Amino acid sequence: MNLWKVIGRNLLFFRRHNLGIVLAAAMCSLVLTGALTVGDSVRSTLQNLAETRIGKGDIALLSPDGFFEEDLANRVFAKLGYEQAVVAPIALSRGMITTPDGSVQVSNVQVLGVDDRFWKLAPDFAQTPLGTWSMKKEFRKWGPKVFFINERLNKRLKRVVGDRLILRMEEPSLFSRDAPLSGERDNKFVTMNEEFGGVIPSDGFGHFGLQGNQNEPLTVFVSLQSLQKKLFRSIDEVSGSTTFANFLLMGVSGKGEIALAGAKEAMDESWKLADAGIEIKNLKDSNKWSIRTRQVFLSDGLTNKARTLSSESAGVLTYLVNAIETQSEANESKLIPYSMMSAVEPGKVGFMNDGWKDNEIALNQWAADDLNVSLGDPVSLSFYTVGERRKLIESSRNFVLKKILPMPSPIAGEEESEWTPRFPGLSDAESCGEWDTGIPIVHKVRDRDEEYWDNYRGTPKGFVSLRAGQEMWGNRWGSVTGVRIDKGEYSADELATRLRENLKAEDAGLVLRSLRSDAEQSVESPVDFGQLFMGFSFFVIAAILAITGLLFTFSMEQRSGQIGLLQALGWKTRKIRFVFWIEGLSAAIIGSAMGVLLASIYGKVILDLLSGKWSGAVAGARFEYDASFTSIVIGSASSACICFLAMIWSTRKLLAREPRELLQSENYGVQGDNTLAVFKSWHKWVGLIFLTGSLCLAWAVGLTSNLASMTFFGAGSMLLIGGLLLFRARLGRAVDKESVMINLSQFDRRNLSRRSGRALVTVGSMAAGVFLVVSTGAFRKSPEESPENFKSGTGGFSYWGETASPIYDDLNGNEAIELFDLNRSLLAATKVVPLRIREGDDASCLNLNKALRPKIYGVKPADFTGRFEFSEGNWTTLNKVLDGNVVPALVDQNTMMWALKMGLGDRIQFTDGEGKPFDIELIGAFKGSMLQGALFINEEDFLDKFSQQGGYRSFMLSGKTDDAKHLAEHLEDRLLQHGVDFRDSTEKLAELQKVENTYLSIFQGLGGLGMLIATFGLALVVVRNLFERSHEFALFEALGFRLSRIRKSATREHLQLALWGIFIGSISAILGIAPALLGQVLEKPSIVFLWFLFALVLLAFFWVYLAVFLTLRKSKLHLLKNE
Amino acid sequence: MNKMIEISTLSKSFPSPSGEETVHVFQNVDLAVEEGSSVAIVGPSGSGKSTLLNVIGLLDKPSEGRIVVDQKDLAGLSEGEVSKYRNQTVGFVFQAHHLLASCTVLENVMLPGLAGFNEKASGQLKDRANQLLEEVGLGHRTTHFPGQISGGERQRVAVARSLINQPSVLLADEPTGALDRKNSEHLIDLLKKLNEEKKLTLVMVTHSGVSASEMKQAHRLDEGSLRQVR
Repeated sequence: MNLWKVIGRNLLFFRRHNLGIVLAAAMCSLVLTGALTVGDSVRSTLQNLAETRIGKGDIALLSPDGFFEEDLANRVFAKLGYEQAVVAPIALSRGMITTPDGSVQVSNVQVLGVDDRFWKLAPDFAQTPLGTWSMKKEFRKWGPKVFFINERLNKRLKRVVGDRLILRMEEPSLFSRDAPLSGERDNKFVTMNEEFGGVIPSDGFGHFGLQGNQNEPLTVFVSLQSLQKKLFRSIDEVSGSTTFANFLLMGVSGKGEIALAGAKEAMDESWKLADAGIEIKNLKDSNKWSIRTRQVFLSDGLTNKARTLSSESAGVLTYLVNAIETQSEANESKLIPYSMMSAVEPGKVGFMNDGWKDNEIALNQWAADDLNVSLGDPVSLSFYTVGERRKLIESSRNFVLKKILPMPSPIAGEEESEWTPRFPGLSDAESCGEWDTGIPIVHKVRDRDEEYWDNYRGTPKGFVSLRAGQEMWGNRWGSVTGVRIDKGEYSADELATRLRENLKAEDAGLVLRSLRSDAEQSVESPVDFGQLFMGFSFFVIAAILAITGLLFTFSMEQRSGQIGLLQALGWKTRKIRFVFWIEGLSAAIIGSAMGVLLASIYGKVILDLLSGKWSGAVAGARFEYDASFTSIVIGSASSACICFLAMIWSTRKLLAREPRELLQSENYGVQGDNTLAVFKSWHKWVGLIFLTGSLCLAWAVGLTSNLASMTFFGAGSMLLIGGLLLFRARLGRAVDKESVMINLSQFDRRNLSRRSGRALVTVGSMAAGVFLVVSTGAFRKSPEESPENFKSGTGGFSYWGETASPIYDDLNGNEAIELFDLNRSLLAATKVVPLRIREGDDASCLNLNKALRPKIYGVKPADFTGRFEFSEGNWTTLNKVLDGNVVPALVDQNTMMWALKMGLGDRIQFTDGEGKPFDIELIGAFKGSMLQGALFINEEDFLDKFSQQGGYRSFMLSGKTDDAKHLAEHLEDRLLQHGVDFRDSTEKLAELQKVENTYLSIFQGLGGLGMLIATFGLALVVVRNLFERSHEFALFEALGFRLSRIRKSATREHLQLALWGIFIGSISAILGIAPALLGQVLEKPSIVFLWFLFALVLLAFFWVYLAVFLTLRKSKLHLLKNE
Repeated sequence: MNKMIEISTLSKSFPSPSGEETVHVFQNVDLAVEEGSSVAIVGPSGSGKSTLLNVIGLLDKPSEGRIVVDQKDLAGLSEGEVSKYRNQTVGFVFQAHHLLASCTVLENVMLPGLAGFNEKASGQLKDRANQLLEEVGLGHRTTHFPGQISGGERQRVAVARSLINQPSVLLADEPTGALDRKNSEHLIDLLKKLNEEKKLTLVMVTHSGVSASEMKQAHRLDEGSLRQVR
């Protein structure tokens, strides 16, 4: 016999006692481990989704504002050196897909032009269109004449194979359509009408996307070659080549992974200037090379790098002016319409010496003759610049004619002047009548102008100093159209090599990023669902722990004689404690291990609820159950530990009792603290003060105040405290010596008072539980009743829409009204506020993935003045200038705190349009708005950082809801080909609020479950109380009380505890949710709370009745027998 | 004189822990107690004295035999009738006083009156309890709690409680067992006084020869049989 045998025998002998503890520990372990496995499952599902999203792709090169030669893929592949490496060129675009009859249309679809290389990187090649077995026979063969779409898009389109589908996309421009002289004023669209070939499953790369999101993008897959022919038909009109791409996906088709460093190295070695649209033009009439770009204007970065190659380099800026004008002595105006002018650096060209002034101009002979001017005559230039929202602003500047230049040689065929870059819509025009420059033609083009065009094309008719030119025509896209370098310094190849050496791939906009690393980071969901559900299960766990403690105490009390005996026999308390606690711990460990086996049930139930009733919390995501070994170990160990701690805590006093007391209590347990509650008047008065205070607070604030939800919750809390104090006073009254007990009801109260501490804890726990579970509903967000209110979550915008293709003009302006044939009266009633979009991760609560680079909106602060509620800052904060390369941003408070896990002053690094990193600093936050999930920066900063990205893709409509609705419908009709889709702002806000509301529902649901489980604890309290009073009941029987009467009395006594608890909790909770119940501000609570209260009362009755019935089922008279 | 208690061929037995044998506590006991008499039942520990008293008070059931109390055969009483018998016909005084700690002395005495068998108004019940407490010498302790009075006083409260419903028979099980000599004498004097003045039939189980000698009759229960010794 040793100590362990004693413990073992005790475990077996008192197996009925220990069974309760084992079951409670099993429940605790079930809940804890189950909650943790929910976290595992969410993580694992997101991980799987991320893996199917990127497949075998490791590295991505995305050039959102430009494109490169498709051949770059082959060159990078050659340099990578991986055996099974794949570098897939992709043409990525956005568009709208419709059925031929227009009955179904889906906007903002991701269009992927891919070839065989892309499919090799799919998670499972067999399930790609090139796979052999998984594609259904009825699917069409992958090729140039078919569209394949992913499952999500097919759910929207609901087409069958063979149906025709029409895809409409914006044709990319050489450079931003916001830029001056960018070509046609409106978008150019391309349309593809092909057969629906089949559906790509997720393992066949159907989920492919760049943004981390549990919902895959809506994707249509098109043959790369077909898409290139459509999208890039105007990029290189000289050669007619369309083999461009704007996205490279790199990976290994077999085992292995491409490292980012290796990919960068390969990219640095293989990219060419042409990939970035840079060319070195041989100027035949001069001893110079000219460095130019497809984008016409050289970025400042490229200009600086180019100019470092030679101290003699010279910048040139060529621009189209509206008129070259002069006033004759007779005050007659003469002008030459629409002419190219160049700005050059004085001293760097032969005809312009160092002393050339900025107000001096040189005209060629043709222009001088046409204007009939001579040296010293005034000449003015009028020209357009692009203002805010692509508004053309005509300006003019006066010069003095300094020089008349001889005419150059005529330009032959499709050649262009060496001073003039290839302006889209201009350089290719056969005649002036064909010009499509994007500017309005208001001056008459004369025959002689046509003749000049025929002979000299875009040869500039005059020159000014570069500084004067840049002052007039410099813009955010660049301030030169070419950099000239002397041929004597470099050969063409040498110059190209030196320039390329000076430039990194990133400088040319060829920025690589690790898709795999991003995917791994993104699955670290901002919400840890394991912890979340542990928190939500708090009431359940607390209830189970209370029950565990009660059961163990109960068991120990029944065995108190054994403890007393061991003490009497000389055992040290420490040793006795060890025996009993190890016994309890063993039961807890056994129970926790059993609970682990059942944890999957809890986890799966939660996941099922998340896929069903609670789907609002996860934006409709579905999860597969997965449990990690770590979670199982942590869950079961934690369960055993906390159950053990609950046992230690609940029995700490018992083991400190004297042996005599313990021995005397054998067979009927240790009597609890029988000190009668003493009436203290302060209980009553303070209780009344709290009660009155709560009512006053509620009355003062009112049901419809904005502060109602928080204030009434506070008032409810005060009422709860007041109620409990009054209950305590009532217990004290029960033992008033002056009043003699004259019936059994008084006796019941007297008994409650005898265990006032236990009674107060029981009532308090029930009341607090009911209050918290029910009144949490007060924080449910209600649908926005008045979206027109500037301070509401919609900011006064009734509708918010997005387009697939950008719109360049201000929809409120005449140009757009004419261009799109918009209804002026609708626009007069409702204001359209445009926003620029830089695509990024959705950082709203609808995305379970971590947002690494959130979406950015560029806004004009003045458009938003006075709109939305701020917890910090306001719209004008966006005008703040921050030190360094830092852009200020506003963000929704929820997004900042929960999705980004950041605070004000924190920064996120982004990459600008030229591949250079910059920081965005969070400097202000909105409260409870529909602006969740993105960053809002000043439009000026947006344009500075993403200059090549033109137009607006997001529009908010402000005005009366009905007017806004009509305008939204009108715009959807008129801007159909842009793929515009407007949503009711209140719906959008409600969608976001649904997440928060669902979390509250989950808390209430699991809290309610915890409360219902806790009612079992009430049964234990009843059993314990009755057990302690067994002798008393025996006496009652001996005195002639019927057993049924004793049972009735005991039931009544203990029901009081439950009902008082539920009553105090309910009244407090109802006050707490009064604004929702009676006011018009908050969402009406679900009727479920009444069912919960009903179930609670019913369960309280059941447990009390059962406990009394089981304890007092038989006579206790035997306890009075001495022999 | 009328017979208040008539017991004939009363036996009490129960199965042994092994279940194989039957343990006989007493067998074929006959006893007749006249109204207003006082009887002491003595015997060694474990002889079944308290069991006999419990059986008479219907705290326990006999295995065989017949009990008639106040001309009422106790066989076949319903649960309600048994309760009424305990409440109205007999009064119990236990070795341990079994007072309710949460009730005052007065309330403890009133307690049997709340069982629902008599229609006394609460005022009457209170007056009667006060009167009884005066009679047992505790009129000054009515608002005290059991924890605030001595052991002897507690036992007197228990006696007062047993009399609240004016029973015909008072059953006392070792009432002086937990008291010192002085308090024992006081209690026995009280019981004798009640027996004589109220003509209350008293059956008392005791170890004490002194206490037994104060009773009009004495019976000895030994080895399962009862015989009158005085």
